[in-house]
Amino acid sequence: MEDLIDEFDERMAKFMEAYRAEEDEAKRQELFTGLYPRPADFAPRFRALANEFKGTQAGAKALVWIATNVYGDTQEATVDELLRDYPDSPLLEEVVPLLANRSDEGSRASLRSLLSESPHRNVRGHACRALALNLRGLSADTEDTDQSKSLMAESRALLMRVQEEFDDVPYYGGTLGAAARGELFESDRLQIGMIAPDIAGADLQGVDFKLSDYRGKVVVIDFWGNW
Amino acid sequence: MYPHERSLVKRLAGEPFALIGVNSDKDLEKLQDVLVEENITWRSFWNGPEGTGGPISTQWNVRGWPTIYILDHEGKIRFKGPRGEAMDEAVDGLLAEMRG
Repeated sequence: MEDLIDEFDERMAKFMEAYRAEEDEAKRQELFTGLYPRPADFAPRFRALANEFKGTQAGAKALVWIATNVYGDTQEATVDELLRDYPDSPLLEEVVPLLANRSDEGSRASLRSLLSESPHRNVRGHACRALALNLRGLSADTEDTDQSKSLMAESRALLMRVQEEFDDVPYYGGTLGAAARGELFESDRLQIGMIAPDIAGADLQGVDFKLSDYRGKVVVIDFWGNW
Repeated sequence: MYPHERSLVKRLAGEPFALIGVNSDKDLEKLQDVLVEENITWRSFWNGPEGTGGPISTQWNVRGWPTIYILDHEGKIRFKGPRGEAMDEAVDGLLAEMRG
């Protein structure tokens, strides 16, 4: 298992190195067809390991690799398999965030049971946040105003709970608490229909201005970078 | 993305419309050449020397670049995310709504 992961990582590193060294765009594209280790090609090998070691942490790890490297239906089915066969695994913390954007009722049921029953605090924390985001998405898609509001209130309460109970759980180089703070601001101030929070700062020539200077105009705000 | 934004800004010159950027490049000096080369005429806030970790994108919880918000003339958030043709349609719709 570790050998297979290492093999993939080494090939990916080689590809990245060659890609960075190559400046010609056409040749860069050639690297994609040649050197690039396609996760879909590796997936059957991880699948074989998952079957061989079914019921063990190694089996769970093989499925986590598939779920976090392959997209689409395979990803969704693999996440569901992990939730069904390995509900007590600490490795679930890596795949639980993927449930935040799903619209099926089953994903919410899984998150609720992980939040109350997983023996691992990190998994419970990720489930708490993912459920909050999932319910926020559902709230936006719900036409009934009262129902939509109550889903939003539940989502908000879960984000508060992330900060109270799971503040220091690691997440992408930061913490779940920091992520939840940003997401609460988004819930409270950045939803469709809300007056946008003002922005005040310097422009690229160093002249101060405010977003609200443009009130009275239709405004596109574009978070961009030259990369 | 620059060509689309250039054409939108050009097409709506004189209309009650503004494209406001929040730029997350770390190096403001280097960026000056890009502004000239790419003919970027619209105004941007600078997100500061921390780049994508700067204060504006952090407060707005921006996780991916580019991220788009579209506001109506009252400053209300009306759309999140539309790019390309969908962006044009959203803006044109809000301008039409504004004229009543």
